[in-house]
Amino acid sequence: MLPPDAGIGYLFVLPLVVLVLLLIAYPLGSAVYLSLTEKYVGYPPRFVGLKNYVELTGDPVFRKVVWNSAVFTVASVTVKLVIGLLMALSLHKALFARRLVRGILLLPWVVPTVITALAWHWMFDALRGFINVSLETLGLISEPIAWLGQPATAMMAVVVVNIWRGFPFFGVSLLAGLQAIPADLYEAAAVDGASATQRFRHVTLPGLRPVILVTALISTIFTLNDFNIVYVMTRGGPGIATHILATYTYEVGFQALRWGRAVAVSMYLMPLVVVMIVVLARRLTRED
Amino acid sequence: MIAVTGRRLGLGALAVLLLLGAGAATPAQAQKPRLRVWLLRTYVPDANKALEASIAEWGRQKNVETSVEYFTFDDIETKYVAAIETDSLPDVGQLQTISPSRYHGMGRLMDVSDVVADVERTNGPLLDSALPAIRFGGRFYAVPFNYITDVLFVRTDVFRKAGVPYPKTWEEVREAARRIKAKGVMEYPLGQSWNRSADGYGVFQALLYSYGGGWADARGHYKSIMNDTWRAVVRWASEIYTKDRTVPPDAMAWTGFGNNEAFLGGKIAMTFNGPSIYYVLEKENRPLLPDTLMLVKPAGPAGQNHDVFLLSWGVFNGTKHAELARDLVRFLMSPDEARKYMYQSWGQMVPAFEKLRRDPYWQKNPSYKAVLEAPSHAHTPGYPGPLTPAAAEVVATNVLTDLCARVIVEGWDVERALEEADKRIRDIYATVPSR
Repeated sequence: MLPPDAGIGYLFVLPLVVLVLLLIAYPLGSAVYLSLTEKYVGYPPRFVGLKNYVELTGDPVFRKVVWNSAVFTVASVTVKLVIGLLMALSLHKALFARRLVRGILLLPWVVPTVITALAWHWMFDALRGFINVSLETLGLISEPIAWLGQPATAMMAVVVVNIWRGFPFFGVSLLAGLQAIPADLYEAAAVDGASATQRFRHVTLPGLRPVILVTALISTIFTLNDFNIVYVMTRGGPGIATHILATYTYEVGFQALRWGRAVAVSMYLMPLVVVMIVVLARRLTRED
Repeated sequence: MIAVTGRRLGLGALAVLLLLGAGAATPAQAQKPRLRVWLLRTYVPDANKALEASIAEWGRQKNVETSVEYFTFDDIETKYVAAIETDSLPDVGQLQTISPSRYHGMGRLMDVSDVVADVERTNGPLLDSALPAIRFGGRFYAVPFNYITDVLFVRTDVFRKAGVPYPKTWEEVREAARRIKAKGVMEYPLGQSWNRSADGYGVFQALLYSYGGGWADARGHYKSIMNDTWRAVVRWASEIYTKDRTVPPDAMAWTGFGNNEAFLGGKIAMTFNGPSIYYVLEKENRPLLPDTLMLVKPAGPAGQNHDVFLLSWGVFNGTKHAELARDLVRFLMSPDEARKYMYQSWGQMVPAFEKLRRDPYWQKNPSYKAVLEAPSHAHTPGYPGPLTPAAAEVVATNVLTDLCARVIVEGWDVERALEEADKRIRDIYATVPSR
């Protein structure tokens, strides 16, 4: 039996339900449907079931793209977390001109991604770039390093740029987390004779865990969907050495004109992301 | 709180009536037809402005409201694809080489054979190399505007210093680079990237067709690439990196502008590119200008068979003003307007029509002559067959340059890389739709 004011309750949530259906469920449902069709630009879609997914699974280029995306995402998020944590710890301590330093450290996050990518592209240039010219001037290298011309260094380069752009997000989030940890916990630990390392391990890290989880999750999703950095710096090259899901989706959709397959590329890792979100959400709830 | 009085209501009603009256007072303006035109923003602002001025002039003459939107080399296809899927194509648009075959196949382009015939009457016959890009089933679906031709840039001072003649064949290109390097004149003389831009897949096609290779037969059907011609071509493409080491180390990661920058910066002595490099040198009167020469791309065992970038006019079949759209194209291609544009293009835009090609403008110097000659050797993707949507997709999805990258960057042997590319091409031909 519904309570007497249930109708009012449903009325209040109705706008939200409509919004969710319009803005999330419909586009997502359309995307899933498109991924199950053979949809070529300019032609009507034809339902083909899981054909796109099966073909992608067997496609060595796509498998390489998935691997590249995993390397790009895991390496970027891990290093961003470490640097962001160091940034937060430094800013948390009393520091001369703390506000100024905090502002400067936020700059990479503020600069438009395309500008960032172009600037780093020039710095990594083999013949005229700042990095090689500096290394040569210091006598550390005798011939230029093709940073963007070799698979390993090209991947490293796009990861570095993603880290440079993204670590302030971790820093600011973790700083907020640090400031929320009660000072008396540190005092109690100090009274009990805990060293600085022990205080970090048993007070700081547990206190930051929810923030770390949320920040890492958000950053993982954004990094997995990053397009600009790779497109501007390498276009996925050399060859397909830095091709990631976003750039590959663009190539399949807008150059090969195969929209059904392009949507399947972008949906391929959706189950993994959903599982990640559910697991992390549950963990967070349990922590709370 | 504002009190709503009868006076305020009366004033409000009056204002609304005046606004409505103002709208109704200009019926001619309200009925003025509106034409949307999409143009390529080339590297030459003077040429862009000249074309825009011509369109505006036609609008004034015909009492038509024209609106111009631009795309760049990088987002031509992106803009059209989005417009096709949202039914928001313009009335008239410039198309790149592969577009007419794709959009005609989708049923989006109007038959403009009558316009082509009219333009040929005033400007002379078309170059044969334009036909496969715009004519399908004997009918024309686009009107050629201009070629943006790819040529070989050489630094004459570097060649002189090394005592090396200008290359006339692909093998001589390799040899020249090796000798310049060996003599210590320049470490990385050859700026050739097999990247994901026209500087990569365009030059690869020129190399391939000049060696007599292809991935389609004369009827446009898939043909296996597992043969000695392809092996020789991939060896040429990869050994300039792996054996000769005459190419800058990060050239494989260059974007479309990488070789321009390297040449303008004096880091390389040879590169294949559109004439935009020469435009920068001429416009800014840079010191490198007297030492720069443009040459027609080299020959291979099968002759001089090169790639092509043809810009053409398409009239889209969703237009409500088909006759006006055709009239605009006729106007822009009329001898006077076409010449106005040509003179503002700094040798970048090469006409496809014979009378315009005979204009003394192109006799200015050997470089301009080379740019003029280049389209005579041009062939569309899928040569020796017709340009089909499948051939277009092979180029657009970088199959050709990925093949080279597998060998150069990932160390695959030629045979394995060819097998992968062959499978990709076969799959494209088996699944691409076409009406």
